[in-house]
Amino acid sequence: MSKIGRREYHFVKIKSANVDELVSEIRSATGKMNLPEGYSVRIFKDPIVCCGVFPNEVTVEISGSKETAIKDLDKIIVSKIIKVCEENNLEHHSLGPLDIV
Amino acid sequence: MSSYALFLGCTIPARQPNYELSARKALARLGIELIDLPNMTCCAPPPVQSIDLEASLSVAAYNICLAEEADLNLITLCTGCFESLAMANAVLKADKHLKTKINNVLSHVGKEFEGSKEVKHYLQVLVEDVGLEQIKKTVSKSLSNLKVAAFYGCHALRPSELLRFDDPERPRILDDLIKVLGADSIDYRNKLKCCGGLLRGYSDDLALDLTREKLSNTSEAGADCIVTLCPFCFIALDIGQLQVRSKFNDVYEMPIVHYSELLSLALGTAPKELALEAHKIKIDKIISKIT
Amino acid sequence: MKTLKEERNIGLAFSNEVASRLGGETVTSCYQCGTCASSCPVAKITPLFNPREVIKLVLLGEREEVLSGDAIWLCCSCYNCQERCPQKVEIADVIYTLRNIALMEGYVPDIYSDFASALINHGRLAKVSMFVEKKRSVYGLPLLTATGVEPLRKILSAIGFKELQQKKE
Repeated sequence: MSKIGRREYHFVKIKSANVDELVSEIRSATGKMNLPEGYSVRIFKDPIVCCGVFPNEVTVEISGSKETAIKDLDKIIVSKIIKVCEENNLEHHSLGPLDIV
Repeated sequence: MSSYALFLGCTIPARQPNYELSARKALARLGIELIDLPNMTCCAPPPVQSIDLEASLSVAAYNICLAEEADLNLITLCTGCFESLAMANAVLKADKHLKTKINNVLSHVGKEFEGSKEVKHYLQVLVEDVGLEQIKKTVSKSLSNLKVAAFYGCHALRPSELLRFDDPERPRILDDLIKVLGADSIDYRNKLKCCGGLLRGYSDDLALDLTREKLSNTSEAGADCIVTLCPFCFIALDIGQLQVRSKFNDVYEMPIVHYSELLSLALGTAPKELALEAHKIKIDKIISKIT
Repeated sequence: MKTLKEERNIGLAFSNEVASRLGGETVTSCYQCGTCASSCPVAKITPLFNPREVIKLVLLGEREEVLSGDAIWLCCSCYNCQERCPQKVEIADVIYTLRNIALMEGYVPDIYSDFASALINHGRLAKVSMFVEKKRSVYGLPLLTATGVEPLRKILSAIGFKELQQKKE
């Protein structure tokens, strides 16, 4: 049975429009990763919340069969995202916890 | 036992398991049966009304039809959903011409709005079906150490003629429901003022100004927490605090709690059964104040 | 040179248009008392939005300014104005009506394209991912019942709800 690990990244000092660009950059940074067989990574912005827009957030969901592998992949992705943030001079971003079901 | 068709809307099932879990547990404990009907949709809140009012009325009416077919009244948790559905219900019951127009649209999906059912918010159900006395008797953990800033939000109260939820200028229902748990529902500046949530996405700056004002006023009055009814108010005040901190360097550490969470805790539910991780601002200091 | 009557008719066309639409019926009852403006939490913190001004511009026939401007998008839908209006002008609903017209004319703030797509694609405004479904069962919450996406789409198409297009300059 597949497990899914989810982590939310909040960017408090960025305009909503620029989150799209950020998602593209993160996708291309992680797209080059060698994923083990049977594992996949989804990166998306999921801002809509009924009456408006959730504060700027990018969500990463890693699917696969082993929790340990998911945690390893998560560590790599976190460092790649932090690197993207540094390259874009993005301060004040915060990480949610990694939640695996 | 009273039974209602539960209308969850969009945000609560997707983002706020804390609201849903606490409400289901508390209402069950107090003898309210919640029935989950299939094929419900979005309630058509302000963003959808901004796109097309006729579409919104039709979508709201469609959801009410589902409850009519099941011979159940509707209950909502979110006050935005309450406004959308209760307003549609009231408007279509009163205006035959509009009702015919909307039923023409609904005929495309084989539905017809009759106006035979009511749309209630869970606070109304608590007071009318359970009663304040009964809730008081069922409380097992006193919240007497808690100073609570009750925040009604906008959409339960107004437009009051259609919603008939409470007095729009001097509402009491939420304050009464807080007091019955043993807590102190404190007064604070501009208690009924909007949280600014709906400005998000269009003007985050203005939204944050209003959010900051709410946090500042409640903090100044000595509140231990702000109690909310609307998932969007919750988001604006909870995660919005992080943005306020980032923009203005103000640190509030003000727990934001839905009424059903406070109710559940007072009725004796263990904190670990309530999905409290959904809170970005941790509510540990509230938990420790509950004997 | 236009006659006085012609000018007045041109001015009235927009308020008549608004009054003929769902939500806008009461706009012509406004006598500009300003109760709405003093009840408005947004007007208090910015000069960019004032409900009395918006209604005034509608009554004066300033169609282009109202529809293409930022003001109508800055209402936070708190309904204070509508609640307190002594003439029972449904101000918040009028603003929705103005937004309806603005969107049809192609004045589409970015997030509204997102709202429209979310509604049409998922039947709900907030997506529920596989993770969220799984997490629900961890919490002991019941499985989410099916969303009525098909009926929603049929309703929207019966009304002629179209995908929103950005206005091409």
